[in-house]
Amino acid sequence: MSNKKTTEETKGITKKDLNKAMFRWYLSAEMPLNFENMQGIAFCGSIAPILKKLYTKKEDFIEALKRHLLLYNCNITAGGLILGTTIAMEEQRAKNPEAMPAEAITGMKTGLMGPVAALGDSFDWGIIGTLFKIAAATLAAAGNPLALAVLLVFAAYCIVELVLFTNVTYQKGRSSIRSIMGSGLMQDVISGANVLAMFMMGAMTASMVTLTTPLKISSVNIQEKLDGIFPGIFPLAALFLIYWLVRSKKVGTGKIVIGVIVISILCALVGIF
Amino acid sequence: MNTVVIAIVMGIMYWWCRGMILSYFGFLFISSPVTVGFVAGILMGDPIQGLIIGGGIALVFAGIIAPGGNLPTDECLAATCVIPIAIGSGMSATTAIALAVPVGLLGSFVTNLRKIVNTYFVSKANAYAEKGNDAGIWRCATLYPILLAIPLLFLPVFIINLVGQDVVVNVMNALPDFVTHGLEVAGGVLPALGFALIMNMIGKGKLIPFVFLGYIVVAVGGVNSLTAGIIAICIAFIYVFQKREITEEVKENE
Repeated sequence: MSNKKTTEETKGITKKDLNKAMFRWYLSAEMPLNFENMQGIAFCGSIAPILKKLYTKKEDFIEALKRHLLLYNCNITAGGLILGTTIAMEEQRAKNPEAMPAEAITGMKTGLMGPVAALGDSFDWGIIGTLFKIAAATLAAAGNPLALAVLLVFAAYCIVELVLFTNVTYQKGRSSIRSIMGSGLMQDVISGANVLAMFMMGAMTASMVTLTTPLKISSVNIQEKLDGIFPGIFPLAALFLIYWLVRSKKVGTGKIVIGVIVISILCALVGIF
Repeated sequence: MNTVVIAIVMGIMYWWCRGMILSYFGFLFISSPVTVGFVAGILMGDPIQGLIIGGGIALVFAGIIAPGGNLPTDECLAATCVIPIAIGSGMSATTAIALAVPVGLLGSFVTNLRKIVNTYFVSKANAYAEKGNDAGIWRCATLYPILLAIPLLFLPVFIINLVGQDVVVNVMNALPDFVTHGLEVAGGVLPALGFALIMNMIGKGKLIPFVFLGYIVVAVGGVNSLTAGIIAICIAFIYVFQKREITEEVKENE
């Protein structure tokens, strides 16, 4: 009886509600970031208006708020996959609490936030974001204000991703997350982007890293001789030395920075560089 | 423009980006040394020099992403503290890079402190939830943390900008020549750290030949970055299509 009553009272979630939740999420996601529930407060606050609409009985509303204050931490825009799914599941629970237990919603969120964050952090930030950041930095280093536009394009890409993922998962439900994350096209894009990034690392080293020696042995310019064999061998050597330290020796970034500065000053003192 | 205005603007930029207002817009756009450099440059009458220094700093930090929100080093703190001082004192871009990178390392301390202090709002939000007060939870998510971030994020950058220039100029003048030259050398090498971190993040040792190829195309071939990018895109497409053809052939043979 009571179930039937709630069904009749439940108002549908409109496009406007969904947009509002997305905006609130994008605005606030990491503002209250903390070690206890990470993005939990923001997640709860973002969907609170929808929960209020769905759960007309106050104790149901309170229970839903507390459920979404639990720990949540994910990539913000790829996390649209979870945001949309959560809203779809909460809508079902409001209609029929027996068919959609609260544990299923919490389980979906905690179970998927890891893999979805990995997708967002490694693909969006690791590959696409890195390429955009390098392009912007290169333009800026050459004094070109277009660098700012390049950064804005990536910021827009992230927003489009959030809107797209939230809408698709809200409309198609839980199964759509797996189909998006496991598609073969994604793998191809990743491996292609990896090749592109590796090639550009070499290209950028050639144009951006500077290291030359002023050394002369009986009026023979060492740098000119080296350039005759292999132009700019020092920057490439520096790149691979640091790469080896990071990859094989697991030396921390801080130590490398201090090491580079100390060695540079020592070499400047002796006159090697 | 006077130092106080610049210090305020730099403080606001740092507060905005590490307060995570508008999440990735703040985290990516406001936080970028490119943006900080451009804004500082406009205020100080030399936007192009600001861009050049900012671009150099951004290159070093390009490989650093924040998995799970943990920043190993903070490009925005480095940029907001160092770029105005560098422009004001006429420092070279390479010296500015060498100074900025160690400053960035202090940033992880500030962001962790914020995450500790923010835990206070979790109990507060839970109390609001008990009463069904969704507006209260929303304030815990937005208003309270950004107000708290003012002393935490705005103030340090503001103060460093206010007093930093004189200190840095005096220190730089007092340093012997080999130290200032050494800093320039370090600034020239440090972008290689950024690139090495990206190579490590991609984590595919078998793709190393592409690094050499890219290097040779620019160092020996002398092509510009845009052309190098186009060559890189072509190679990436060839690589992916070849890979696909091979998998399809293997499937047919089976």
